[in-house]
Amino acid sequence: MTKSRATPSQFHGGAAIEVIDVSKTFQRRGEHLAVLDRISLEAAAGEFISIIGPSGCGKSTLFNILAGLESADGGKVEVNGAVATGASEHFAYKPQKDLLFPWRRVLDNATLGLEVQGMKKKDARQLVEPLIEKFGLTGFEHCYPYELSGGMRQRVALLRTVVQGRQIVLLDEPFGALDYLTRTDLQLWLSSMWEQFHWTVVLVTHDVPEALLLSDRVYVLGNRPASVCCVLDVDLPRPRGLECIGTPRFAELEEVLLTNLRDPERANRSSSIGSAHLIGDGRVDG
Amino acid sequence: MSLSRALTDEIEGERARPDAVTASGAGVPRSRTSRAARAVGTRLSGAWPALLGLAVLVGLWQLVVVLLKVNPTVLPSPARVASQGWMNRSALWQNTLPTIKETLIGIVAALGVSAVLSAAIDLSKPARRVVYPLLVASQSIPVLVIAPLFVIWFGFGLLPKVLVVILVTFFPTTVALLEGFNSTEPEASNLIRSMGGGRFKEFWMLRVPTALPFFFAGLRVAVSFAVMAAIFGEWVGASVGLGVYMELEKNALRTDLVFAAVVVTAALSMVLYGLTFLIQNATMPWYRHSRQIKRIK
Ligand SMILES: Nc1ncnc2c1ncn2[C@@H]1O[C@H](COP(=O)(O)OP(=O)(O)O)[C@@H](O)[C@H]1O
Ligand SMILES: [Mg+2]
Repeated sequence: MTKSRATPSQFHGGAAIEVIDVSKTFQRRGEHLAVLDRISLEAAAGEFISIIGPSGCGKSTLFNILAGLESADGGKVEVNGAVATGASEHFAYKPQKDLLFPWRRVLDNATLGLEVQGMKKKDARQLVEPLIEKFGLTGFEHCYPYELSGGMRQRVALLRTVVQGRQIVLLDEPFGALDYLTRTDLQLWLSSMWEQFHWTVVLVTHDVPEALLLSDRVYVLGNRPASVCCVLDVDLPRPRGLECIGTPRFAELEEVLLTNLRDPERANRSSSIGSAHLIGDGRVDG
Repeated sequence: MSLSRALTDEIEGERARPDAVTASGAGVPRSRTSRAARAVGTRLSGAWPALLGLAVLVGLWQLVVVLLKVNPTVLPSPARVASQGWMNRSALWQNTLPTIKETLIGIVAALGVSAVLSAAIDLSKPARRVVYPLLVASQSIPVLVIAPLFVIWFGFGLLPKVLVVILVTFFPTTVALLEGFNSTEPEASNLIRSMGGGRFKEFWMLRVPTALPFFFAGLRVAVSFAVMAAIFGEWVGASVGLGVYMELEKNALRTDLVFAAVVVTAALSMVLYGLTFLIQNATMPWYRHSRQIKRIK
């Protein structure tokens, strides 16, 4: 495995990813638990896509497969057209918990990934320091995680994720545990960060407005065993700010997503609403 | 009193910490020196009740001995122990030094042993299967029996005492380290793996720091047995040391000097115990404060 040496320019841009028919069944005490059923999705380089689905449907499992932590039973993952199943080196993974190491200061938590990749602490710090301000952590570089609020912890975890210089960023419910105001702040902030850096981002969430505010496209997963039951192109203009949430178009898309989430079966039957593309039909654009 | 102040300070510090994206150095936490000073103050003021209790006990003891006119060979008064101990301070000190040396060398060696053993057990499955049971079995060897054998095998020098100390102290720290390694969050291990880290990176960067608080708990158990183990090693066969001194003075019916040596032993243990806190705070500055905040929450 080659050791990737990240440079600041590598923090920009991303790679295209395609997930093709990935399935997964867990064996638990002799029982089979089918979790993922032929999941397919894709993101072009620099696209922001979201996966939304009921809790326990297998979203984190999909990320674990992408990050090479879990093996898939079937299907494959392609990055820039080349098979990358089980290869973690393309993905910067931010798990559901922030998982900051309490014994590392903010700056050292942010450099963790680079150090794991074999970079010297000093070099890693030099690489990360210019981003401290953008991540709203100025003045807190040398604090321990217990000194931070929930919102700041998430920003440190995001910083730790993106500085790894990997091509695709996987974010698993990054703002799930935050209060409403902090969450909205961070969503708008993440949106602006993405517009600057154009990472390829795959976001897992169960927050419908969050998915709409941030993504170019939303994949809705059904109940376990999860398969993609609806794909929605989000055609809201960018850059998106708070005002975007109040627009009629936002409300329309929100309703489509909610309908699909609450009752995938019924939504499938009356498939003409909005720009929802239902599996099996042709894509309907806004 | 000062403890409660320290705690309220922590709460206020937490509340005052800004969480604005624009926070540009305005909310940097207070200086670390003032924190450290307060921590020492808290610790000292926390010791008062214990000292008071000790003073009451010693006073009662003195009273009983004086009132009942107890024979000093049976039970010397604290005053007598103190004055006789002071008069014999150079002999006491000359016998204390070797004991300190054996204890410290023994503890350091035991730490090395438990570091190697726990790392091997944590990193390799075969080692877990082979070494772990032996480790537990080693603790069923009675020190009473093995210590004299050490003297037969290794003579009257430093080595047999150090071995006794190692035998008694390596187990608590090894078990503590193993428990600590195992308390690592699986998600955190996955994070390191997703970053491309292997078993050894995970061990160094995650499992070892996670185990530190457990390790210090184990070290405190070990340290509280260590001085006693060294003295036992000496008692079985040595030419100098507190164990020898106690034995000689006991045979000379100088119970007061035996007690003086016991006081020195207790003081040694307490100093060692206190040292573990100092080392802990130096190696894990994040630990105490994060725990205080958790307790408040
Ligand atoms: N390692 C595992 N072994 C067995 N079952 C698992 C494992 N990981 C996850 N599961 C099960 O798979 C299902 C999906 O889990 P997860 O992917 O975490 O859901 P989500 O992230 O969508 O909430 C859950 O029912 C969970 O219990
Ligand atoms: Mg999940």
